Amino acid sequence: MKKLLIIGLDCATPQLVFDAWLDDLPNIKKLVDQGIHGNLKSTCPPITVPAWTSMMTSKDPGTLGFYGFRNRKGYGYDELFFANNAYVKEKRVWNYLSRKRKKSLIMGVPQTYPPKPLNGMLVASFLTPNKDVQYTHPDSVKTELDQAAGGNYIIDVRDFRTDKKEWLIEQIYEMTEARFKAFNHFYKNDDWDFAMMVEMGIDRIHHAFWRYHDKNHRLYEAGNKFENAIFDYYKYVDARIGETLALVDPEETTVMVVSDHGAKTMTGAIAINEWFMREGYLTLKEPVTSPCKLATSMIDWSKTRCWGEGGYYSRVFFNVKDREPEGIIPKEEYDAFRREVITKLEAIEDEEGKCIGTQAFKPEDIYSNTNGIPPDLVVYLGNLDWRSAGSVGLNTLHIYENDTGPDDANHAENGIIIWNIDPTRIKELKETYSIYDMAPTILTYFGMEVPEDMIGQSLI
Amino acid sequence: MKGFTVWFTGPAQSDRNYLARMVEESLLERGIRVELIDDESAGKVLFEGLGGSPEDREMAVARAAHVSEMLARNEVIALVSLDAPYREARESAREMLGDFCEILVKGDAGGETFEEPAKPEVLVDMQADGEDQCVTTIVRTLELLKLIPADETSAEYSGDEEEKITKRLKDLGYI
Repeated sequence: MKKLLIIGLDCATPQLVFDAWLDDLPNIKKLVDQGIHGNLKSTCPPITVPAWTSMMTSKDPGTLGFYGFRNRKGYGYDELFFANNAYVKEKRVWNYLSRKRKKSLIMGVPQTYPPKPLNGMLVASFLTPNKDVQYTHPDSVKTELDQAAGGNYIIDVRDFRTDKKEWLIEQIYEMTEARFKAFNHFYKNDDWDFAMMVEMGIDRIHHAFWRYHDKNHRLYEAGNKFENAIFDYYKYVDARIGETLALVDPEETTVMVVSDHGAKTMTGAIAINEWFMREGYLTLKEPVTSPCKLATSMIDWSKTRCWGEGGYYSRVFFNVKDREPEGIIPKEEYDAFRREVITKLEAIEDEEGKCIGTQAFKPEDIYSNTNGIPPDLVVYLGNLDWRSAGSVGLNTLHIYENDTGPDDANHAENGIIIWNIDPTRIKELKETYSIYDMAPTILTYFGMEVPEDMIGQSLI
Repeated sequence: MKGFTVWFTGPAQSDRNYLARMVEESLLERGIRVELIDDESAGKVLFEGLGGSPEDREMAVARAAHVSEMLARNEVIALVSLDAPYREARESAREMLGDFCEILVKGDAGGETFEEPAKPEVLVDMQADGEDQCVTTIVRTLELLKLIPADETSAEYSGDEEEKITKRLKDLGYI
């Protein structure tokens, strides 16, 4: 076997793929039966950026220097940047393969905009601002892409927060159909050593429709009209995978199906900055009486020690003297203060007074390095059963209609790995593999040396 | 992008061949078409039958230059690294090939003849500067000479683009 195809399904979750629906997904099941499968433990945090890049580089977020989509550029209060491809300094698998004259087809892998050259072709992913920019390498691929997709290549769904759920489902299907069509077109028309695509549809449908599918979701209603939306879509994706597999020569190519993280029910959101205010860690210049986004200009920095970001997890930042422009925490008190905040965060309760099981991590404890500007704490509210809401003026800590995004599903720590390789080639069969093991495994598969600074291990 | 020749020159004990391979890989990583002609790979066939006499060394240079010319006119970069101690032969190659960048890799001649080039475009010292810095210097020089495209991947979105991306990520719940 000398070639590899990876089909990435962002957010594909093991409890659905393996436990609930495997028998309904014949093409995925065939790959499972032919080889190995298991959970794929994601990065901390289990978020699309940086998870896919960690997968392809075997470097953790601390080494990569970005901890989510948006990151602090410096210790100023408003210096933020979007971690797009220009900030990725570590080599991905396809960079190593290019160096050895192996040709790669890369489509839709997150964090690849703006595109960088390689030996092969690349279509960037959803951080592409629009289709007018150059989002392919080489440039000429862009011209062919729409036609290859059957008319219109769709980078990502539009207007995700629409109430028009049927329209949203249609968009997700259109996007998926177009991406698989385009991928199949390029895949069969050239000779690739390594080919990888990532489809975002599963992530999108999870976040928008989880409440209709999960009987344990507080908003679930039996017999609702979207009850099978996620199930039907998984079957649709499986059929598309079958069409791609029909193009694969099994004598020379093995196939992986992977995801960057899983999904689970979201109980609600914790208003993290409201919590900081109640604990006396955050003070606003003027009281806020109606919900609004927290802008740093609203904060009285002379009386503020912490603030937090909203999202599927929370990043917490401290206002440190001689570090932040108006910092007040003396550096010699930083460690003790952080321990205090950790203790209090981990004691956060729900409205019934029950501890929700929050975990707060120090970056230096969980990463090999802390490049860039790491948060002072990485926080899984309720162990990711709850998301973080950054808004203020909410008059409550517990929110059940999210302040910015969909509230149906949060990310779970385990994604999936399926590989139709002879199981006897796997050094150790496990229930859960590590996302960091993917890049070393791919390089070993191609007979290449694994760089010493990759933190994962080859599975073969 | 037009083809051209990068000629790695250095005495016997230099890391010339290794550095040429690293530059080759660096250019391949950028999706650039490049081929390496050195003593250890293509050279085994290309320089078959040639010995160490001045005449044979001159013939080796001529053969490498001939192949480089063929590669360059097909828009491929030729990296040449061979034991070519005589300046006149290398200057003939330079004159013949036109688009030519010479890299002098410092090292110990070990008592053997080695005539340094008069004006190499790049001077590197692997022992002093390390492999990564040497490769970076060479590749950056090729960019500055406009022989290869510069790596100009910009990180910044326009204001309008950033607004769209922010809205999309908020809608999706990521921020």
